[in-house]
Amino acid sequence: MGPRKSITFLLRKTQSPLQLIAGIFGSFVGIFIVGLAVQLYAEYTHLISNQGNVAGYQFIIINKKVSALNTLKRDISQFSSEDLDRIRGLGVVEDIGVFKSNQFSVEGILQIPGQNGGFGSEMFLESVEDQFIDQTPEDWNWQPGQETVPLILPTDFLNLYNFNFAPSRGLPVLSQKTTKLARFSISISGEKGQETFVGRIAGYSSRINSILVPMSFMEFANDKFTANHPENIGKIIVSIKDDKIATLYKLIKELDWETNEDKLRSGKFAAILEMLISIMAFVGLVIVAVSFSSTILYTILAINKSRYEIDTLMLIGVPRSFIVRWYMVNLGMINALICVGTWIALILFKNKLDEFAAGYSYQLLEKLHFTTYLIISSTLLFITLIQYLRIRKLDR
Amino acid sequence: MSDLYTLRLQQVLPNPLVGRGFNSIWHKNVSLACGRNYQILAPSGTGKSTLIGILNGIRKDYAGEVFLGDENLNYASLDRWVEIRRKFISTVFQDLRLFDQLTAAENISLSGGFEDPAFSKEEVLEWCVSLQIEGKLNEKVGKLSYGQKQRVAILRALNRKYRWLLMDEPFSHLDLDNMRTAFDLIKEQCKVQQAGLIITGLDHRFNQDEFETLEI
Repeated sequence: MGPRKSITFLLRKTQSPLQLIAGIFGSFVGIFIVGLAVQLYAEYTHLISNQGNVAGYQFIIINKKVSALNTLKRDISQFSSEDLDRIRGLGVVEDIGVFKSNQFSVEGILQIPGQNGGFGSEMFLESVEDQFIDQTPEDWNWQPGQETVPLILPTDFLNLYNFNFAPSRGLPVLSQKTTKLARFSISISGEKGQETFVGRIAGYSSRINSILVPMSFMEFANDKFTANHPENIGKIIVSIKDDKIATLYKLIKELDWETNEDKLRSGKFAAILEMLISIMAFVGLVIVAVSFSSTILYTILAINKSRYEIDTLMLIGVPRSFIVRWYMVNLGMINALICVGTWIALILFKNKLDEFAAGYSYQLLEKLHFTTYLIISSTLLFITLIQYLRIRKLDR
Repeated sequence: MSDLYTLRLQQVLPNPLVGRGFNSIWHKNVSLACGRNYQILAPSGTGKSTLIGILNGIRKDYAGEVFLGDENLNYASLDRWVEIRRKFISTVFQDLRLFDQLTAAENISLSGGFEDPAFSKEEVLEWCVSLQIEGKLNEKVGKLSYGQKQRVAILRALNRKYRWLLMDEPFSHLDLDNMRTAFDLIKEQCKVQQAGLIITGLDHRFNQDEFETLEI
């Protein structure tokens, strides 16, 4: 064996394969989890943004929760301007609409064409800006002096009538088109007077579960029939992109407001997912810290086990740079192996994940995100740097 | 010979020996000329190995200054010390510092790192024959007797270029015949290389004509 070979033989001979394997395994697990967290986050944002492109905006109606404590206090169930600012302050809401409701009494009687009798009831009316209504009917407007008031009813009303009320009474079912022919009598009375209008169903809304009239009518009637009409905001509607719902969801939960849980399901899901990813990132960081220390400990151990050899080699004149280079070449190769191994493991994992997601018709990223490659490589470069700094400290 | 490689000790005193009285090295100005032979005589525990340690850069725990030519070795970095050991100072350590996992031949060839061999294989083999170690060349050093190991350590130190040969009790386990042969070989090689020799021993006095004796 020549001198060079003897030296490398000496340095290699003192290494323990078990410690080497443990060191490699520790690094591999740590780096894999870092890579996995990065990739899953990339997949998550990809999924969310894709969903957003397809579904666009969500409209969410929010009201304050009525509890035993605040049933008697009217103010508590109203939104204040601070509340609205708080929602705007989140920076995720595209637009906020405020529902205006009638401050006067309304009674409506519905006459169904060709039938005797009809429904008569005390009513409530609401208005909201047109952009929040799912389908604004063509003739959705009202001007002072106009006798007929267009109305938008919840689709649920008609469904309740068609599938519950009508069969039990032997009445015919009605299509949306038929109901648009019907005319209501809307009798309005307040402190400042009384008047009867003709109500006409202009359309149906599945988004807003309320009887809507045009904003111009509401403002006119509140003004005309009510002496004092405070601007109470009991209900609001916000438009928000799908991928931002999680943030709004957190605020709604935090302030204990109420909303249509169904609409927020994706937000809830996203919030849970974000939480899971955060937990995973945290656990990942802990594991990475452990893995880092295992890698560094392995390096220190490797040097200490070769202490006699290293010291003696330097005592007989073998340059430190030669020894450091030998360690760095070997550790570099090991780190490169871990790097490539982690890439391969993640690619295999990604394939499995793709298959799994395809089962749920989700389209994931085509391949590993470049950030994943970048983070894995830079983490290992960082480890190599720390190893180098440690090894360079050889003294004798 | 050359001032370039003169070893000078100026008021050097190892920390563990502070407060004791000494003869001719510690806390004195001593100049060791390259090309001459020096024998360090002293009882145990008075710093023979410490002197060797200071001269090859292992020990730093001393007051005073050490020079190689004009270079103040107190300020030499680790890399500079390794270079000095590779080029100028060859040592036989008291604890030999051989590699048990390597054969005797591998240990001898490792001398001076991995630069071009200073001597031909035949020449080195000749030395091995004279020191009666040639039959053990392919054996792992771990299996050799201490006396055999001592000869391997001497051969490793000789098998290179140097300006100083430092030997810390190199003959402690050699019989008289082997000691004489080794001693002759060492003197001859130092002459060939125009190198200085510093050798420590307990009580055996070498020929006064050939050696300058320094008592600690």
